[in-house]
Amino acid sequence: MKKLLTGNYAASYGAILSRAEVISAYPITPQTQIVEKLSTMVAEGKLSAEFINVESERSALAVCMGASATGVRAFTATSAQGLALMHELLHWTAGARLPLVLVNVNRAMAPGWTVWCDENDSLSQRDTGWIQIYCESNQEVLDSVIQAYRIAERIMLPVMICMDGIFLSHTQEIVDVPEQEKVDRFLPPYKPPVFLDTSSPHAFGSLTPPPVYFEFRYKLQQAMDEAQAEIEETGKEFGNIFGRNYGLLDEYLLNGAEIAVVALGTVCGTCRVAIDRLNKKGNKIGMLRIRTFRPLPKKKVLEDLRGVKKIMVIDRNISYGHHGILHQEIKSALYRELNIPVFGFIAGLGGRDITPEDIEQMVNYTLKHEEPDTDILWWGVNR
Amino acid sequence: MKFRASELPLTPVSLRNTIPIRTGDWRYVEPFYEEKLSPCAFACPVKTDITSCIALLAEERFGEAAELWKESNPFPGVCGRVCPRFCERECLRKHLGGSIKIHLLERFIGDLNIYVQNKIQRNGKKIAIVGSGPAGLACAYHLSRKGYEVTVFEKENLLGGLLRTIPSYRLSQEIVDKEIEGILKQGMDIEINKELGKDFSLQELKQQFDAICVATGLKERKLNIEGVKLSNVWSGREFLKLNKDIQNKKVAVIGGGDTAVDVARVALRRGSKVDVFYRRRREDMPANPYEVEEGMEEGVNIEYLSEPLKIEKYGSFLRLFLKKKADGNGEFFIDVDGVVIAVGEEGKTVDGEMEDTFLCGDILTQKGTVSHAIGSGKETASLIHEYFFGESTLAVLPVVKPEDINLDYFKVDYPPEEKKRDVSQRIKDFDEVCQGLTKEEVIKEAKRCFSCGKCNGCDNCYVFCPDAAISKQDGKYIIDYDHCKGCGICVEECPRGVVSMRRTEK
Repeated sequence: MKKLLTGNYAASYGAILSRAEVISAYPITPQTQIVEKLSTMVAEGKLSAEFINVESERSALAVCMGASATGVRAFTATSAQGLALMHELLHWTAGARLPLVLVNVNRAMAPGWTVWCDENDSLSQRDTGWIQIYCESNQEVLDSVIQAYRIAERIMLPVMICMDGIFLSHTQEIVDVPEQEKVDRFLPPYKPPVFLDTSSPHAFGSLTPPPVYFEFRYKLQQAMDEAQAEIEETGKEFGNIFGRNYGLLDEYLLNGAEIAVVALGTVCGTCRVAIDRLNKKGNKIGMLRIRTFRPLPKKKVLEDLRGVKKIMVIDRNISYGHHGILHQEIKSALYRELNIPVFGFIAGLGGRDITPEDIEQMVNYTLKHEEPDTDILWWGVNR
Repeated sequence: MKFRASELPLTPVSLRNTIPIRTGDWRYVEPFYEEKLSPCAFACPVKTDITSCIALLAEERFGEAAELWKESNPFPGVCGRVCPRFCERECLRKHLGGSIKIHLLERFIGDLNIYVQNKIQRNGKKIAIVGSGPAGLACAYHLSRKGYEVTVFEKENLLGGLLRTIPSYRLSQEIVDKEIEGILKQGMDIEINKELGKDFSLQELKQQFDAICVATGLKERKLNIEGVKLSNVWSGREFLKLNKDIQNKKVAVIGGGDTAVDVARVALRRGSKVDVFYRRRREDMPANPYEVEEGMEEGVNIEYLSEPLKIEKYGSFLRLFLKKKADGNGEFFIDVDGVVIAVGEEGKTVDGEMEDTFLCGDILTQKGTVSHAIGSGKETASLIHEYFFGESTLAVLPVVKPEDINLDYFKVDYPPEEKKRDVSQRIKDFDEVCQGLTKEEVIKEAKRCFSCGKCNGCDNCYVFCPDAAISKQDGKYIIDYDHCKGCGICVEECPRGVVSMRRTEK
């Protein structure tokens, strides 16, 4: 059924259709409507799940971890400072191999106080062991939540679905809400390989001395490696059932392109408009959208970028003291494989608009320069 | 030691289960289940198990609720109407929407008219009860239910004592009849028109009975001022029995107790204009505050801090002289057709102590409410039983304190509106002013009860125990002390103060 949905409601429908059994979340702008929608559905008896109220995001994740450890499907959602507050438990969730799904509505970190979008909140959690998927549309948010459970439960790693705050969370799009029956076929009930059972209790997460700790970390990385194939297969299978295909990456007009724009999140939609305009004028511009940021599909990135002359990365984030986070990631993927200049733009921090004109001008800059003038190409900052 | 990654589980988890690890050894305090007395039951002069009865009402088990109530109090219909509601003052729901309307629930239970069976074998002990007011009848009721052969002596020709003086707009006499009928069904002999000191003496009773219980109440207090012997000056009880003479007149009432207010409201219904003169302030009035409020709604005027000085006859009317206490020497008078003196009760009718003789009701407690009389009757019945058989039936339970309740589990929720007949209608007749609740309202109201101190199987302790050390067996919770670490979460999360903590004996 087609519905006009905000990104927040799309995420909620994703959790509902996935039959999340325990939901715990703490409201934070711009994620609040996810909590509202789900708690209302539970209160009205339309969703058979436990909605557990908590006093903080850290507790929300703790509740979901506990629920997941007992073998049920758990869901949470947060944003910015909330995600940062979860930080310790983000590590724990992945280390305990709990297949949770968390929707993060990307919001810039304070101070200064802000409710607008950038991706620093989730990108700075990249080393916690969570799979991270970045969405471009509300449809993708809904679809990705459903896929996330399947990926998480097969690989036994938690998945973070990220959507740009305000741009997706608070704007409506026509979203095709899949039928429950079809979702049930795609996503069978969760059967955990090991879980906390009070009739035969075991100690979880107990002391792991040097002879074993290292091996557990090796296994986690192995799982990340395996996740790549799983994400691809899940995306394809999803396409077979629902008619919408998803992959690790999302390529736009990359074949024969001379310049590849690399980005993640909603700016990619803007890029599509700018690229269409530019290519009409005879340019050869393509785009690589990084849908899966963790695990980073390095080989696929290389394949997609092989043949382009210049790469421009648009980062709506920054690693202070270095440069854009995606910029680093792409450069590290290229190492000793492709010797292509990478133009690292930083734009739109704290929710400032990145317009198609901005992107056209960034491309024009790239066309005119062999190499970037500076390590960071600040776009639109008033110095 | 070496481990291959491929041989390790997904996440660090113990190979063996942890049941043999007795984490309970760490404990120095431990939780235990301990049902407690709710503040309402504690405040109740009859010590009725109010919370358990309300729980039954909430489950629509009306018959069982009535039976349980009557195990303690055979007069729910009466008390639901005339008790000053000591229970509701203590209800912990008070600040979360308002106290439970326990009186209306009790009234509903009474109006169900369910007689409880008395199947107990007679124990051969004969008890005489002198006086058939609420205390005497309650005592007779409980003794009969304990197996005693009871005979009740009443000086009037009708059982009920003081209950018969309560005006019917407060308490329909049919209710009194029916509840007394229920008491008599427990099995007892009745001797009416038999007055102590006139028709028989305690000595005579002693020869026929194993024990005697005197429940003759108190006498009306007299006022020592000039003019009390004049005609058209009555005592409260005299006035309430009166049916003529004072239609459409002006009446002055002296006093501030229930009788004074009753007199005022009766006079009002007979078309008189009424002024009540009380020597202290409103908050000092011993009358049931709800009755005072209703009387004032109906147009009863109360003058506080007014002390009567004398009554004089002036032609066809009486002049009552008073002094306003607040004004120093503010003397004043009022001309009326009748003066009613209702200044309380006093005096013991039995002097000295006698073996095998017990007292109950106002004569013993001087508390002056029907509920206290019933409670006293119940207590004396227990004492008599203890006297003969040594079994104490008065249990001592701890009382739930406000801090024992976890308010996080309760939302603000309001009681039903009290239904009263419109003032303009009700002052025209003697029909009941207050109306009861419907079945649906009763269930809804019963569900607002916190169930202080009484486990209702909410599962919080079971769900929240972080050590899964609480299990359920046959509807009861069992604590596995081998694994309980004494964290106290169950105590904290119990909404109603049923789980307590004690030091672990090592």
